[in-house]
Amino acid sequence: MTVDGTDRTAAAGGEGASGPAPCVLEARGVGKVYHPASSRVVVALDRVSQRFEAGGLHVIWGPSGCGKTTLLSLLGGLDMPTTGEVLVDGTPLDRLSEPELSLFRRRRVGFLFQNSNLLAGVPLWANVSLSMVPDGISSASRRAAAGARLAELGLEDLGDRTPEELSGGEVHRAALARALVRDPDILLADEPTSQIDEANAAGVMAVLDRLARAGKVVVVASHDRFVREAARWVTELKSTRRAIGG
Amino acid sequence: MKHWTLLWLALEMAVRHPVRFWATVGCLVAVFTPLLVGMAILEGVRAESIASVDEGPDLLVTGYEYGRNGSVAEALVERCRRLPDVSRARGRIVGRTFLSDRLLTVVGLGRSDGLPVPPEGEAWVGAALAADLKIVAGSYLSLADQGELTLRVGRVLSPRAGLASSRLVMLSLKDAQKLYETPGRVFDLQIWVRPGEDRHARRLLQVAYDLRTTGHPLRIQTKKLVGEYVDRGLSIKGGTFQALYLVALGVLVPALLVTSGFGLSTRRWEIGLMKALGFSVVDVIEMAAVETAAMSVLSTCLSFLLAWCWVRLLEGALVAQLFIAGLEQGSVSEIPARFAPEPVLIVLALAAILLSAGLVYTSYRSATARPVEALR
Repeated sequence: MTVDGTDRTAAAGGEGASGPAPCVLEARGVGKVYHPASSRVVVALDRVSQRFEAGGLHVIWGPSGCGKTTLLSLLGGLDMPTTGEVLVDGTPLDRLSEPELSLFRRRRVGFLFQNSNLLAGVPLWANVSLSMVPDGISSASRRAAAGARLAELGLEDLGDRTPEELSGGEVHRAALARALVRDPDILLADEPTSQIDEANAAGVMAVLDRLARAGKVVVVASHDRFVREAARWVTELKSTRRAIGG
Repeated sequence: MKHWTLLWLALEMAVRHPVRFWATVGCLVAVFTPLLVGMAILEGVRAESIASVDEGPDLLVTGYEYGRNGSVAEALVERCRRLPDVSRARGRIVGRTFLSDRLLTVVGLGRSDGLPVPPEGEAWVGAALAADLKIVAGSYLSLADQGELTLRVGRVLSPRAGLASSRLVMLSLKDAQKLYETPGRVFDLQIWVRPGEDRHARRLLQVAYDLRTTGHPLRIQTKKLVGEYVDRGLSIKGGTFQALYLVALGVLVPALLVTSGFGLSTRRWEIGLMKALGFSVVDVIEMAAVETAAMSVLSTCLSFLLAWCWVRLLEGALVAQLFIAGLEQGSVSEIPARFAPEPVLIVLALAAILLSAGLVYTSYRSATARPVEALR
């Protein structure tokens, strides 16, 4: 449940005061129930409504198990809500056909997973450019695009390495490069600082903040106070996860 | 271009899991190699049999006693030769006997124009039998059945003479009559009718009619009929082999499906990730189809290669005996085998079907699930 959606920068008289950025992503009364037909019904998210605007970092804040990852998955079209709807530029995601939804995920959304989710045994450049394959982009172009993104994140010499050969921080930055390789309108990051050291965390947050200021919708799910400090908007979730029956 | 990039990615993803990849290909090869061996030997034996029938007489005449084949008087051979449409006729005795505990076929041939026949007191021995018994031209051979004979080996038949002659002893008709104590009798009569395009069939009928009028109880079989018997006999053997094989396949299919589903959770996770990154269901299915096609083609090629080695280097061990009665290991220099394209295509189709069930279907299931579920 949304309990707080505050514009911290606006309250502080920051750059957000110039007016709200155009809304591209919106959750309307979104809820998610797992195993609805069984005796182990789990309510993971209950009627969350929130606009996610470009122009600043948006943090979904809350303790573990409150539904941050679930909400992020729903916003990125990786899952569908049980109730309510997610809209992108006013279009509900559940009205999109499967190919349209795939195209949305491929071209408009970058998703930074909590545990990176890079393919083991595959070179970084191929991992980073994986989402370009269905568009028929040549290997050379994919390699160039991946190389550019890796270079932005300080991994320019590691394109031919596999994830197993990298440190945790490097893997996480490579995952961020994958999320950014298509230059998406929306970037969704799930606990981007939870598994890396402070220096790497600061670097990742700097990139996310820069993207947000560049006009992207950047939504970060986190329970890290350091991330919350960097946010322009904070949506605080209380733990709604509860099991019914069973 | 899109399909090309998907194709390469599918191949890269397939070889990323070498254990899964090679275990599946290995299972397919283990299943299909014996089938290709069996089909190749069946076709080889069929081709050799048909060639043998084609080279044989136009009419095969035997006696008919109590509903079974019986011998006929040798005098009938001469009478046949005088029939107007007969170009050539000869009597034959075909029997079996043991020599040093080895079962062998004895063929006694009567003289006929243009056909080679061993002279009296001489035997021609098949290559495999000669090698087995260490017989060379000039050796002496003692045969015993109803009577006893000692013959000089005049010739060892060429190994290329074919499967039928590999364990054969050819004698003159007179010697064979002594061996089986059937003086003045032959077991069958081979008759060649003068060729002549459209008149050939009529001439066959005429000869058959003339033979009927001799008063002897005879069973007359045309070349076509003998060919059909051979073909039917081989079809029954082939059918039996295929039935047995299908039973074995039925047992192996679940194992194969388990193998191709080996690492299913990893595959599901990978598909979930690809879906999360924007791959559509069609993209995922296309990749699974490419992987299926690659493994099908590879396993078919390997099966073919192994089957060829099995036939040529191992003489079709364990499988050839199903098609060639009385065959012992090493008894022929070359197992008759013909690798036709049809069985290879059948194997390719079967491999594709089995893999589709184990791979494309599971990929489809994962691809149609929401990415979050597949990634979980």
